[in-house]
Amino acid sequence: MTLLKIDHLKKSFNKKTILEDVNLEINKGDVIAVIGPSGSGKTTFLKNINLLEHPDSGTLSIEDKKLDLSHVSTQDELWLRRHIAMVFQNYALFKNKTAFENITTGLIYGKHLDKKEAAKIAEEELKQVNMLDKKDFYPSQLSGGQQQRIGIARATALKPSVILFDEPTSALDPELVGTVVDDIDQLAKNGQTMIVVTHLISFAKRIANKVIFFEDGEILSAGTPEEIIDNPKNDRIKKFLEAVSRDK
Amino acid sequence: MSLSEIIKNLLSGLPNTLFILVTSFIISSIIGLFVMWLSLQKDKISKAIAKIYTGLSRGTPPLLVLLLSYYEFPRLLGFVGIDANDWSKNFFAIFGLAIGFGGYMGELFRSAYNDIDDSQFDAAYAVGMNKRDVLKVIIIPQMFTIALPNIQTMFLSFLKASSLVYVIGIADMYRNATTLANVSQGVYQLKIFIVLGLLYWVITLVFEFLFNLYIKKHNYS
Amino acid sequence: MNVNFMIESMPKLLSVLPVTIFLSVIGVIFGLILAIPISIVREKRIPVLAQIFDVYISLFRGIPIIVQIYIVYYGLPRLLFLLNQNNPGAKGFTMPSMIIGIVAFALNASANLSEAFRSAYHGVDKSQYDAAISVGLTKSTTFKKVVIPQLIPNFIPNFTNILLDLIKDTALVYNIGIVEIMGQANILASFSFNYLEAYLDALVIYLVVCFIFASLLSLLENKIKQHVFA
Repeated sequence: MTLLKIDHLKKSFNKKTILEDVNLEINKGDVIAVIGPSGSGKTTFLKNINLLEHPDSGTLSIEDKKLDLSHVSTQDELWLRRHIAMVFQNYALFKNKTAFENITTGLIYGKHLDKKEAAKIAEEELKQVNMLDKKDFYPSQLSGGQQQRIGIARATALKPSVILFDEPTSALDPELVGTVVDDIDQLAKNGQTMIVVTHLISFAKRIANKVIFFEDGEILSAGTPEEIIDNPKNDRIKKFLEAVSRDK
Repeated sequence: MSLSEIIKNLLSGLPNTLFILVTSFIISSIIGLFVMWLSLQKDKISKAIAKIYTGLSRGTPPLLVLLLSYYEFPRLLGFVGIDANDWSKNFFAIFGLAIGFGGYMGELFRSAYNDIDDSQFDAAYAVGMNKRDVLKVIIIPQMFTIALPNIQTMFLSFLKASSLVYVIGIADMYRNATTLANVSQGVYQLKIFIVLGLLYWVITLVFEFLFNLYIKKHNYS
Repeated sequence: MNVNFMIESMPKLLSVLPVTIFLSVIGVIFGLILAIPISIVREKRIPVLAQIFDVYISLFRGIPIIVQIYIVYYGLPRLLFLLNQNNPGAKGFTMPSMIIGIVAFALNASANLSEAFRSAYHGVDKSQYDAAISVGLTKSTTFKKVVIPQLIPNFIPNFTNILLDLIKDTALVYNIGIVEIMGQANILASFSFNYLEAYLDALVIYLVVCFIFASLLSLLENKIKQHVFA
């Protein structure tokens, strides 16, 4: 069942085309890994989906609602963001709020829940990521891995249809990557629909049921992990994968 | 004239000094926030107004602003039909200081705002907050925390600038000192000003201490 | 508003502009000369001296400049008199106000400039120093070739603020008898009470002077940045 459908997403900036007619269809429970070289537009792509950046044109269909991305009303924008959550590369936890408050803020101001409800949900989410004992800590007092897990909790607390992950492990020290990867894997196993932009090819293979290769602002190739990563048919994908694995 | 007599005489001007200091600082902060808001607008006119005002503010001696405020502002008000002849001198002093330093306050807030990471905005919008809430709940508190050390410095600058209101004839610490000096002679004149200087210094230290306490408490965000 | 008066007074005000510029520029130069040893002592934390200078800076930054001017005005002649008591030929001291102005400004500037130095110095990444030492440069070469060139562009904005503040503070020295822009404006205005016109003229001059200095220093900053970092 199609959960999210994006058609002809285009975005230019200062006469340069950043996204060149991107089309994507996602089913409930899909985990889409987006891989590709830096500067190919992967992050911009994600930001255009939850409208942190505004596309020039395209349509987005989600949950029976179809939006013309060039003209989205403020109401629809806010609605969309309650259904599509985001996890950031640099965690982007609210610096002036505790871990607990980071989760309740979105629930209170975004979803308009009352304080008690928000508190209950926040406690559950923190329990899920094993961070309940750190609930009154500020981000500056937490490690990168801890911050990112709270970042994930902040997103899942919204009970969104889709979660967008923008290179969730890139800013983490290597020894912290494992915990976050496990958390995201668990989410996938629980059926959360996700789009994950990542550098980690092994991670992509592990959690994704569909892999997209992004280059120069468009989807060059899409398929299963076996098709794209194990047996790449395209030369550029081959080259990219070789370059990435040399680093190991 | 004994030391304690001098101190007592000077300190009698302190309440007025503090009153002018705090009021003008608060009003100047409001002006500064407005100037910052203007400079962040997309249209060129707002940006230009902000820039011009900031330039004027940073290129004008506070003394001159105070003089213009006291002697000429009533005339300006007169054009609009407001009779300001009986308004208290304190009003013009506060107005002058607030306007004179407004550009500095604006720069202060603007640079604090720009220091906030873009991703703070992104994350706030991403959880579905509207613009007003993003600013109120996330951005402005952070801006304030970042600006605190500079706010401390500016506050102390206001304290020092408050001594200039003598030129309007307001009775504050400085004015008391000059009055006293004029009726004393010889070495007493030096003594009076040294005591005055030390009084300002002590007050500065007290405020510095209080600000530092506050900054320390607020440092986890 | 008497525009004629404004036009006529301009040249008269401009005639004392050199006084304003002289006072602030010489003041800041002497202040700079004083500030360097002060900063070094404070950075190295030389016992006793560093504490004394800490208090020195705290005093000069915590006391309004008009008060500082008066303290120097009354105090400097007295101090020199005391120091010269052994000299039989010493008369009583009447010092030219200009010297008093320069001393007061220099002392004040030295305190602010020393703080500006410290902040610019700490603004240079420590790893720059470490890297230079580890490739074999001596301490003094490191400072000369690596640290100071990077420190200067950091320093200039603060220097500009301090210089502009001095220029604006010259408006106060008519109190001790120096005739600069404000003093001249008051004199000219007192004949027929054209205070508004005289003050507006003065305002324009201050704005232009500050703008020119700020622009020149900004250009200098960019040139140095290019030269050092390009």
